Amino acid sequence: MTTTFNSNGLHHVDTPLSPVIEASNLAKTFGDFTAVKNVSLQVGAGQVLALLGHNGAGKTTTTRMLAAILTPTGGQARIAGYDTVTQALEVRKVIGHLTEQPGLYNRMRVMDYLKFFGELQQIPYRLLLERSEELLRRFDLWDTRQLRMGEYSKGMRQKAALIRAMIHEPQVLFLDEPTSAMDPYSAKMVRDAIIDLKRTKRTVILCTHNLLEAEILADRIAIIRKGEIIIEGTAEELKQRLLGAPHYRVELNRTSGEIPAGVLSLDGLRVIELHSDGFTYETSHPNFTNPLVLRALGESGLEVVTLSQVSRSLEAVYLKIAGTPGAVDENRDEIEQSLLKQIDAPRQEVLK
Amino acid sequence: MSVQSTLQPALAQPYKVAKPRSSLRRALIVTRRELRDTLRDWRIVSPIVILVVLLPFVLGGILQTTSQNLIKDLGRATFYDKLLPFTTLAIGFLPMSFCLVIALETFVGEKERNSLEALLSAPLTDLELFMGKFIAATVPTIIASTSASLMFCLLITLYGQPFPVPLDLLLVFLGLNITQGLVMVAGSVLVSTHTTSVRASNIMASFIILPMSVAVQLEAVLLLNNLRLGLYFMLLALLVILALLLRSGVQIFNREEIVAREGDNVTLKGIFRGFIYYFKRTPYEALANQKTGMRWTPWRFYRHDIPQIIGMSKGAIVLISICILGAIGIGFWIGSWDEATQLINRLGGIASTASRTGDPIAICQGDYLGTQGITWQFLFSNNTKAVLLASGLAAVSLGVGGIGLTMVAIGPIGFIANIFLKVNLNPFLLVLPFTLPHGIFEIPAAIIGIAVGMRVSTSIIAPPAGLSIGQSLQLAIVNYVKIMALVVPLLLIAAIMEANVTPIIGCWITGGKI
Repeated sequence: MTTTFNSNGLHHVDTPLSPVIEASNLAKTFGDFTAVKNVSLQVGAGQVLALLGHNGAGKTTTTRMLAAILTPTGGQARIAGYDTVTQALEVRKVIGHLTEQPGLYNRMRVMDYLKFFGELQQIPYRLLLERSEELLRRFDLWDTRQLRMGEYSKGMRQKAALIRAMIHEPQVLFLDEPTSAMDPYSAKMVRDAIIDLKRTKRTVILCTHNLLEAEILADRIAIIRKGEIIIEGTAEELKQRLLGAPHYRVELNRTSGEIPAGVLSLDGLRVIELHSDGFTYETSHPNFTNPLVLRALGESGLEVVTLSQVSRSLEAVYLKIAGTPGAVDENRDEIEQSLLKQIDAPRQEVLK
Repeated sequence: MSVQSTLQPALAQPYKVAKPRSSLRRALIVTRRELRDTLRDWRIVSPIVILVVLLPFVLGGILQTTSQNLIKDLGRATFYDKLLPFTTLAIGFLPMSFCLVIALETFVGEKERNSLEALLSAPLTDLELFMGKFIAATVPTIIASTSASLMFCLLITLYGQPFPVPLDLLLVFLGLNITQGLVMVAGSVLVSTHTTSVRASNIMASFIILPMSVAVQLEAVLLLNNLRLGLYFMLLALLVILALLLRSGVQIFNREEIVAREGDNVTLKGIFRGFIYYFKRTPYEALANQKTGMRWTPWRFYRHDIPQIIGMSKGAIVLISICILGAIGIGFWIGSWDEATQLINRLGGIASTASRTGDPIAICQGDYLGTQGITWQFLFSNNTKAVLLASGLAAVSLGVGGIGLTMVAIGPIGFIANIFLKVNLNPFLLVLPFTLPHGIFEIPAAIIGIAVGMRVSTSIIAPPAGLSIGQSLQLAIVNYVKIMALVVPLLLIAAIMEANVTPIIGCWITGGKI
C-alpha cells in the first residue's frame, strides 16, 4: 500500500490483494495477567470490523497492539503491510486512532490542535488548513474554532478527537467508542462519516458497546471475551449461528378460519409459535419454503395479509453469548442493563 | 474481495527491532506545542516571572541598602568577592527548582489528562518524543535561571555597585546553573515517565531537588573558600551525571510501559508485602518477576543474592572506585600546593627524628597516628557509622553526597603521600603496610555499600524494565538491606585487623622505620 499526496487532497492507493489489517495469534500479557490471547483477524480495504465485548474484555489492548502502541507478547500483526513491531513508525503513519477518552489539550484551540497532529503526519501546510476546515465544518465545529478546547462539551471534544484521527486521511482507523457522549444528531454525523470512510475504502476497527451501531455499520463483528475472540462473522451469520435459522411471521385475515395441519407440517418448516391471527415459523431455506407456505395457505382458502421476516437484533446474539454458563463475569446483569440502555436511544434515532 | 495473508507462517519472538531514524525536526514540533502550552498557563508563568524579575529586584535592593553595614560587618572583600558572587549563583537556582513542575508533568500529566495515547499513536520515535518533551522542559528552566542571574547582575550595577562577578566566573556560574537545570529536568522527565500520577511525580521530585541542593551548598563552600577549580570539577561531574541521565532516559523510555502502567495502590500493607516479595526472591528473580526457585537459606543468600546485587551494582562500583582514585590523585595534587609547606614543616620533625636516630619511629609507638588504645569495637562502630552515613547520603543524592564524602575521607591519603615524598620519605612504605591489611576488607565494604546505596536513588530515575518506580525503589532498598549482610561483617573483620594486626604487620614490614 502506498500513500500519496497531490494538490487536490489526500489520496490513498491500496492494493486489494492483501488484507489491510491482519493479525495472527496476537497475545498480550502483563505480568501474570493475560489481557489478550490468540486473536486472529483479517480485515480488508473498505471493511468495518466491530469489536464487541465487556469492559476489560481486551478490545482496547487489541487495538493498542494494532496501533503499534503496545508490543504483543505473542503473535504478529500487520497494518497495510507494515509489521506493528518492526515497522511501528510506518504503521503510525497509516493509522488514525480515536482513543476511548478524547484527551485533548485544553488550552489549545482546535485549529492549533489539528495543525500539531497534521505537522507530525507531515501534511503540507495548505492542505492541512483546507482539510481542517473541511472536517471542522462537516462536524459542526467550525463556528467554535476560536474557543479553547477546554470549553468544549463532551460531544464536541469527541468530535475534535475524531477529526484529529481523520486529519491525515489514514488508510486504517481505530475508533474506540466514537459516538459515546454524543447527542443523537452528532452521533448520526459520526456514523455517516464512518459510512463515507467505507465508501472511500478505508478500513475501520470499531470498538463499541452500542450493538445497534455495530450492526448498522460493521461488515463483520467479532465478540471478544477474556481476551479471546469467541465468535466472528457478519451480523446475519452470527444470528444464524447463535439464534438458529431465520424466523418468519405469517399474518392472516382474522376471518379466514383455522390453519390446516398440512400447512404447519410442510417440509423444511418448523412452527415456533401460533398466534390468533397467524403463526411464526423457522426455515433454513426461505427461498424454497416461503413460496410453498404461501401456496398452501392460498389453496386452503386462507387470506395472507403479510409474510415477513422477524427481525432479530445483535443484542440477542450478544446476550446469548453472555448468557452461556461460564461465558460471563459476575457483572453480567450490570452489563446487560447498560447495553439495553445504550441500545434504546440510538435505535430510535437510527431507525428514524 | 479475495485476500491473501502477508504474515509469515512462523512467528518469530522476541522481535529484533531496528531503531528507526529520528529527526530533530519532529521532536521540535512536540517542543513547540509544549512550550506554547506552558506559556499559556499563568500558574506557571507568573511565579517564574516573579522569581526572574521581582526576586533579583528585591534582593538587589536589600543588598544595596544594607551594603554599608554589610561591608562594615563582613569586610569589603567578603562582600564583593564572596557575598555578591554567591547571591548571583544562588539566585539562578531558585527559578530552576520551580521550573521542575513543567518537567515533572511532561508524560504523567498527559497521561492523567488522557491526551498521551493520541500522541503515542502519532508517527514519532521514542527518541523524538523524549527529546521533544525534554527540550520543552529545558528551555524555560535555562532561560529563567540565566535571566535571574543576569537580571541580578544588571540591577546591582544599576544600583551603582560594580558588576558583582568577574566575567569568567559568571560564565562558570551560568554553566553550573544550566547544567544543574538540565540534570534536574532530565531526572524529572525520567520520573515523569515512570510514575502513575502527577502527585506521585511531585513527591518523587524531592529525590532530585535534594541532591541538587547539596550540590549548590557544595558550590557555595567552594566559592566561599576561593576553590574555583572545585567549581570546574563540579561542572564536569554534573555534565557526567547529565550524560548518564540522558542516556538512561532514552534507553529506558518505553511508551508501552507509560500506557500500560496503572495507578499504584499505595498502602502500608501493600508496601510491606512488596518488601517481603523482593526479600524472598533473588534480585534476578525479582527483576524477571519470577516465582522464587530456591528456598531462602544463608547458603542461597551468600551464593546467589549477594553476588547478584554486586553484579547489578558493578557500574556504580566502578564509578566509585574511579572517584576514590581521583580523590587520591586530587589529594596528591593539592599536596603540591604552596599552602602545604607549613604542614611539611610540621611533619619535618617526624621525618628528621626517624631518619636521624634510626629507632623505631613514633608510628609504631602509637604517638603520632594515635592508634594506641583504640579498640576494634571503637573502629567497627566508627567505620560502620561512616559507611552507613555515606551510603545513606548516596541513597538520597544520586550518589553525589556519598561519593563526595568518601572522596573527602580518602583524599588526604594522596595529600599525605605527596608531603612525605617532599621530605624524601617513601609514601608507599607508610601507606601500604599501615592501610592495606585492613583496607582490603574495609575499602571494598565501603565501595560496595555506597554503590548499592547509590542505586537506591538511581532506582527512581532509571527503573529496570517491567518494574514501576515504586517496585524499583522497593527492590533497591531490599538489596541495600541485603548487602549490609556482607558489608557489616567485612567492616568487623577490618576493625579487628586494624586494631590488632595492621600495626604489627606495618611495623614488621617497615622494621619500625620509614
